[in-house]
Amino acid sequence: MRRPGALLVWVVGALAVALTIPDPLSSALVIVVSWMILMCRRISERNLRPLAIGLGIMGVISLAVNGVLVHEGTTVIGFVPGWIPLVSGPITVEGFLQGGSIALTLIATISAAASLSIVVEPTDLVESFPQSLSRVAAALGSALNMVPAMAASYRSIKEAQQFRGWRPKGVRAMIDVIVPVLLGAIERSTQLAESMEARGFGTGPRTQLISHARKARNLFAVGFVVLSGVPILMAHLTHTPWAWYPYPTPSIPSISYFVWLPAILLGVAGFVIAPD
Amino acid sequence: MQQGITFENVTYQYPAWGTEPANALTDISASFGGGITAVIGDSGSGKSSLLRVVNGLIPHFHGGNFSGRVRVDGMDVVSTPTRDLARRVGFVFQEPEAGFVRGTVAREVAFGPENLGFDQKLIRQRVTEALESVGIAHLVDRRIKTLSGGERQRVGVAAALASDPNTVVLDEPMSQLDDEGARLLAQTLVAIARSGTRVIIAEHRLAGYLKADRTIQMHEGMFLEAGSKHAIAPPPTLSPPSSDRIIWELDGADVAIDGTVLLSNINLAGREGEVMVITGANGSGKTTLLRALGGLCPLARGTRLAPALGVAYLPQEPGVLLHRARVIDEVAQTLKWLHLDASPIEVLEVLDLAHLAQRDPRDLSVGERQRAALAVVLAGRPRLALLDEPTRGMDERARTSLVRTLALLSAYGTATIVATHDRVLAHQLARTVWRISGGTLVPEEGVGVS
Repeated sequence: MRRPGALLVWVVGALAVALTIPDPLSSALVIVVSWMILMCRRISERNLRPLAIGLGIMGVISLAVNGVLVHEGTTVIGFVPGWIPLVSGPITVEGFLQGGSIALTLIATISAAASLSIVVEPTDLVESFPQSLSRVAAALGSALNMVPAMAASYRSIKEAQQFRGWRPKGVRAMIDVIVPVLLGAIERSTQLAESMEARGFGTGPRTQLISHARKARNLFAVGFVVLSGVPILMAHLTHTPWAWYPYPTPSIPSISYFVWLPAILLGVAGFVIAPD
Repeated sequence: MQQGITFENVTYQYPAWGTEPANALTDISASFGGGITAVIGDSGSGKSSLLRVVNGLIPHFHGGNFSGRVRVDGMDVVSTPTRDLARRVGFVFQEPEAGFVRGTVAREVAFGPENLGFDQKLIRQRVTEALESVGIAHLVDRRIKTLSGGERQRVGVAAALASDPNTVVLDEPMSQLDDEGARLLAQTLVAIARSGTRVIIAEHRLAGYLKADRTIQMHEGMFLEAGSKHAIAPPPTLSPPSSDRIIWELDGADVAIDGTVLLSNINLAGREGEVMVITGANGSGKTTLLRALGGLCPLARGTRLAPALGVAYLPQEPGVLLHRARVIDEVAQTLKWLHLDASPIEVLEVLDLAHLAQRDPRDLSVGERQRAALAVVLAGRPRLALLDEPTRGMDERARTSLVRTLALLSAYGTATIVATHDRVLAHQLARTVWRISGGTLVPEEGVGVS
């Protein structure tokens, strides 16, 4: 995996844009660039399909729930009868539009996070830490290795116990799987610590097999991500209203530079990082 | 600086809570010169403890009561931290994969030299040389999670060699290796011993692979006199199955994992009481075949016949079966889950494991844990037993006991399939031995009960 550190910075920027700018255009751009990164890194369709389906279902639920539950807005397209509790009232176009906006924000957030978690192995990420943090990176990398090890251990233990006659009936039965998983994790941590000690971890200043040259492409991408934060910060400092709401009547999303500039800068950074 | 390793009256007890600590090592005095030293002995005889003293893991990491004096190339083990001894002693653990820190082979092998502050050029050189010396230079950029057990073990050896130590200590490094891997490792050890590096190896499978310059035999934490050996009764000869009833079968089966067909057109069947052995190189698909028979891997094509109930499965890692405080509690749990009214201690007696009944499985050696796990899965007297590398870490005595156990089960009518690269076991157990080669099964020539 190339440029894991730059990708991490990009994802942080994308999350900032998706979560702080409640505007459908910027969320849409984050989604497009996140999926471009996933496609460029040749992630198999088999891995991406469940994510796409999950995001689609989440979008539809957000749209439906907001459309049915929120009765604000002036463009009424129907009524839920009064005898149906909780949801009775007018159904409006604005309610669905707001649901769509929320869905876009959620999808943008998850897509950005997925572009990191699916593309980058945790160990690649910590190995991209600079020399000065190499000891922290080694410790963090070994800790991160424990997560997939615990997942694999859970599967193995469950299978092995089932062959012994164990049946997962109720929460109490799960103790027979969860306790061994936890004990196994403790045992593995001890073995890991023993191995690290035997291999001289903590002896003195560490060196690294691969030095992380500050390549121009990475610096360029990180620079754009950092720049994308400037308009967001300025908008906050100047109390500039930038949030898009469909109420009371739908409007075209804002074209304020506070909105489009961060998204465009982030998009450029994404294009720079994406190729593997 | 004074070269060599010397032990003077070393006695050691692991920390114990609530019980009287037993000696893991008792009054050991020895010196290790150059060349290859083999440490042999039964499971639990103190081999691993002895090796851990050489790089200071005992007493620095494990604690406990340590007395006596050990010097490694003039450095006192008690007053020198393990991390500093790492410059002198490379260590290969029984389960190296449990100690992997990094994601790729190159980074894992480089971890030691990085810790010791080697410059980048030297690290690259050492990584390349270490990988070449164990025959896995082609795996340099591979992710560790994609490697087979044997390949991982070789990565562990390369990682120990990469720091260019004066002494390499290996704790049963061949336990997961196939024939070719074991032979290659033996050649590597001979080569590094010739280059002046001291090699100390504890291993049950040395015969036929490696001739040590000297051998130390251990028993109950002490050295035995050279040449002395406990008499071990020869394993019984398994009788052919008396029944013609087929109880498991794979017919035209293709087994795929993540869409990739690993085994194709498997046609195999077993009768009641029949013991069958499957061999093959590391990563050839032995475990996959067992899992397919156990219903853990769906078939991409073909059919599977196996008993709906009464299938026992021993996975490669026995730890997944052992988490209660005593071995006898684990056996009792299997009997309880299977609603069987049998006495757990009688089960252990039949399997010649009564002496382990009250022991905590976590305190057992690898070989003892393997035997305890066997007792746990076989307690229900299954109709079909699937055993994946059951002799991993086992000494000769334990292996003989395993053969005896399987003979007993065979007489009860249990069909057994053993996946192993242990040729001795294959010879003792089965009339027909199958080898997985190129994703399909072929009869193994020259192995099996004649």
